[in-house]
Amino acid sequence: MKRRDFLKKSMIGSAALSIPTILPSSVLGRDGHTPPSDQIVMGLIGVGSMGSGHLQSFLGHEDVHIAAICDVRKAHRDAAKKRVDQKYGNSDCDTYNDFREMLARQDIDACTVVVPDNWHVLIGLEAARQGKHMYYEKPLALSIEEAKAIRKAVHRHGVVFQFGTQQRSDDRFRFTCELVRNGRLGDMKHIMIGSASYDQIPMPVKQPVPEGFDYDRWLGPAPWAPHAAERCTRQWTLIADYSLGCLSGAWGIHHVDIAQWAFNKDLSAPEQIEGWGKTPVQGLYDTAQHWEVEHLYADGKKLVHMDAHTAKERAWQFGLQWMGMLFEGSDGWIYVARGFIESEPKSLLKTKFCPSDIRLPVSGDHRRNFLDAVKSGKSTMCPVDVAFGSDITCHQAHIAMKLGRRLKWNPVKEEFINDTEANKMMHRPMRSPWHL
Amino acid sequence: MFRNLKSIFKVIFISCIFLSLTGSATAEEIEVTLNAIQKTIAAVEKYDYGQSREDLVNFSELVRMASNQNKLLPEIEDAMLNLLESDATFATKQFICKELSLIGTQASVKTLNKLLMDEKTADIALYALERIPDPEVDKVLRKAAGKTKGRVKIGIINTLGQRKDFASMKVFKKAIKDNDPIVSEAAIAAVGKLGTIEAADLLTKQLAKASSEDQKISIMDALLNTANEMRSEDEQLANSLYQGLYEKDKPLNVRTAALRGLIVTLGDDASLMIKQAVQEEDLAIKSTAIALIRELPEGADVADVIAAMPVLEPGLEVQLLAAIMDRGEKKHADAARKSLNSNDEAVRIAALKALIVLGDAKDVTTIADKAANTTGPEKETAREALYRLSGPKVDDTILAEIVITDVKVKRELIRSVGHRPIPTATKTMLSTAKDDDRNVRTESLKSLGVIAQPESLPSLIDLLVSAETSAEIKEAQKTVSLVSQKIEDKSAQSDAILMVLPGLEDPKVYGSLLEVLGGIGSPKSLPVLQKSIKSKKAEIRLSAIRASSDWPNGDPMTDLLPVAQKSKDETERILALRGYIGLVKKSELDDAGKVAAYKSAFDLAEQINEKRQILSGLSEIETIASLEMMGEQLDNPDLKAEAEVGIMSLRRGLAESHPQKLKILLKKIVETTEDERIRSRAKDTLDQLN
Repeated sequence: MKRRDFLKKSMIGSAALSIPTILPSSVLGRDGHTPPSDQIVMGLIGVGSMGSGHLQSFLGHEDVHIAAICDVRKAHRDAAKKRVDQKYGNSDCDTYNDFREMLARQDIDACTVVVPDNWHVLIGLEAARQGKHMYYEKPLALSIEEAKAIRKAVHRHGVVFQFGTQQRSDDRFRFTCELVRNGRLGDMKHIMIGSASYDQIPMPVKQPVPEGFDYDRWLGPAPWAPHAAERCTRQWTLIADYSLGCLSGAWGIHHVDIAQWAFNKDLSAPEQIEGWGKTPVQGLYDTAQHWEVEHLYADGKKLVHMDAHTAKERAWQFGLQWMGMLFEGSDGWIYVARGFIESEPKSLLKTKFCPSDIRLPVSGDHRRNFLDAVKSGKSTMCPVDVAFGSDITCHQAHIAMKLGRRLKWNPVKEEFINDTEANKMMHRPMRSPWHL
Repeated sequence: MFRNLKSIFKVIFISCIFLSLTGSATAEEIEVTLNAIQKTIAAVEKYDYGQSREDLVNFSELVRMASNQNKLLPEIEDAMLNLLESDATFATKQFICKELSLIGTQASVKTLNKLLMDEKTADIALYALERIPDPEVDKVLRKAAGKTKGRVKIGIINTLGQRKDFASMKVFKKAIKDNDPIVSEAAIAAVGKLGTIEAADLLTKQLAKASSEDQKISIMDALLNTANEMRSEDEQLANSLYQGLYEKDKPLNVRTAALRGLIVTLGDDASLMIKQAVQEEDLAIKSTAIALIRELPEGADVADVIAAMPVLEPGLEVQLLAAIMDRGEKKHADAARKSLNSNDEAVRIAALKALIVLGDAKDVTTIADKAANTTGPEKETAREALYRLSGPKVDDTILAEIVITDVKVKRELIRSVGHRPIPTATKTMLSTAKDDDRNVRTESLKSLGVIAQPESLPSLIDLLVSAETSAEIKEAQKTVSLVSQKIEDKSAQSDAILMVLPGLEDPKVYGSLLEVLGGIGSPKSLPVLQKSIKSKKAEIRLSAIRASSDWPNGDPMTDLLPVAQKSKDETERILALRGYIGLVKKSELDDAGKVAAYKSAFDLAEQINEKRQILSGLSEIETIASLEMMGEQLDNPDLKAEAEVGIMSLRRGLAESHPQKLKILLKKIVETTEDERIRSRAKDTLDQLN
């Protein structure tokens, strides 16, 4: 069909830009729409170990009402419902096994996405499609193509998105980034990261699926594998079919996200990547246990991402506190980890900024920041575009490590330069019936 | 855990062979290589879930290395296909398909097609096919779509959509009419990925005759996708799609997404669109329109849009202020200034936040007034605004206002001097530090701690000397200490105080300065403290004890212990003992020395608090002596809880060197503790030790 014909014939094309007729609110919009200044009605997706922490926190906000719980485990659903009902003194909280049913509810304004990584994007896409704001646990996606899809969907529907990299709401990390941004460390040599690592467990035997657990839905788009309880515990995050492991969702992305923030690279990603990784060949977990990947940004800034053991061999400061970040510049260094900060010279930590200095957004509570953004329409501490840059940096590391060669990234096309195999690895096919 | 030596040799061996192949390898060498490859491939044949992945890892490495070897890759692909055709396990075939998805070519299509037609293996076949770029894949998939149903068909359609196979329109058209709603939904989504006029046409027609509400929603979503895909190439067409989807009969979430699309594609007309949208009754549309003010191009008449706003309910006004703030155009500051007078607190707070970005020196008085005369979050936001407000004359205005304004506002302005900070304000602060109002004086001292430089120390010491209340004295002490520590030469940091001390007669003032010396900890001042601790004047002795207790290392321990042992004054004894206990941790004594020091202190301690302090210190020293000292307190009802916590802290460090002693104490804890968490942790450790 020719374009002109389409425009002429299309029912859609016939609509002209015109001043809309004012109709009564009962005709327009959803029933019971909550004014932005009032209560935020939430549905929580995934209420396992981490999700129940979110539940506890959101229950504590007076302007939040939790109306629904979704989880593929009945035991988790029921336990969460009990807590919600106890809090509100009724039995109104609904439970769902299928997130699509929950997200189709018109009275829900926002949701959490706290599920295995292989599910993040599919749930995020549906949430965006249904106009739900989302507090979305890291990582963003299991592949670069998935990350692009969720970014696009969030933009298309204009929903508020908070990425679960809560270190952006931690004073120590923000302060460190402000020091770097304002040149207080002099010329930056590099940022080094010591991420988590793990202890392997033996490969479990196949086990029957327990009653009340929808295992097929738990696997979702991931390749089929026989059920074993060990596979489906919190440590699924160390299994390659569901996660990039410690390099990303199992901690690494927290620090990568801070490095991007400090370097003022929130909306971009490194352009050269090279590194190695070691994956155990025995046992259940098959993501990188030890690794070292060097990322080079277009302006020469360098990020070295390692597991904490490797990092400790590279720089003594990693012995100060487990799993930290070392910022080294010509005028000093800062080592920051959760609940810990140290510097040389010590006076760096007493730095006072003035109004002409670069200041970064302040948040003392990542979830509160999300709720405030839902109300005000302001950006969250870690919106989807920022999450994208951090996520891509982790994917780059993963692919470079897998391929064992230096990769170059084209930030405009958002693909690897002259590397067919690396570009193929930007996408992961999904098990039917799931699709992007 | 990692691959064994044999495997490493294998990989090195293969690597060498690859290298030889890039040069002038003989036929014999090539044969050796191929045999090695065959062996690696054969090793994966019997793999099953639950087994070692070593062979799979070797295989993957082989494939990675071969991926640049034109001579070898076809051989490897062929061997992989043989595996897929064989009786290899499902796990092996799943693994092979994952690898083929990266290196597979047209040669793989026939074998993968066979797997595709079997429901059990269709998923793994699609996994491989989806990433093989050859057009033959699309042909096979299109054909297979007509011969399959249910989950396999859905998977095929999904893959064709993912591959953006434009030639599949016929397949998609047919599948949209499928009785299986999930097949139909998959086809609609696949069409939505194409981003062509044909796709838009098909979806538009289908929308008019949709078989269900669910299908309508899927189609509208696909149309949004189509519009989005087409935006960069044909903005007008994308715009026409958005307009249709913005019509009032469409669901709200579709309308809001369409409105976003319209704003981005309308160019100069975007402002008009926003002005129209905010007139709608639906709050979600209004809210979306307001948020989209951020997207208006630079130079758009935002003032006109703001002026056209109807009376907004507070939540929307907050959103409007946030949007204006995010644009960062100072010319719209008046909108924020106007909202400062709102009856709604959330609006006033949003206005203050907006002024941080948009405001200037003109706003200093108003914001300071808010900081002084409001409470809670509004007060905190006003203070933050005052600290972060930027502009060429903001600092000057703050300093000028301090002189003329009322006490409450003055206090806030002075406070901001330290927070911004304003380094040029020292003179003003030295003056306000003598104000009639006590709070003004205290705030001035706080700010001076931040901004004053060492050359102001004499004036600051004067302020300390003339301070009236104990709170002011404390604040002045902090200020003098902070400013003294700005002297780069650490040994000179106490010079200014040491210089004035001999001339002071009032013991209270003398004592105050001694306490400052303690915080600074310059070695030069230690003899002064040592002398003062023996002073005849009680006030001076007490201050010297306090100063010694604050010392940054253990040097004054030997001065404090005799006081703790012998002083006739109970307060002095207690303070000296507390100071001594605190210094043990900071001292350079070895572990045995520290335990001995704590033991001496424990023998002297009369009060339970000091004993608790000692047990807490001991819990950080991993020695048998500290463990034993704590063990002795398990029978003391007043110290039992601290002793249990301390033993639990030491248990890991001493498990290997002193398991027997530890076991006895842990057993006692399990039997007697009232803390269930401690009992459980003690039990766990006992189990490990046994």
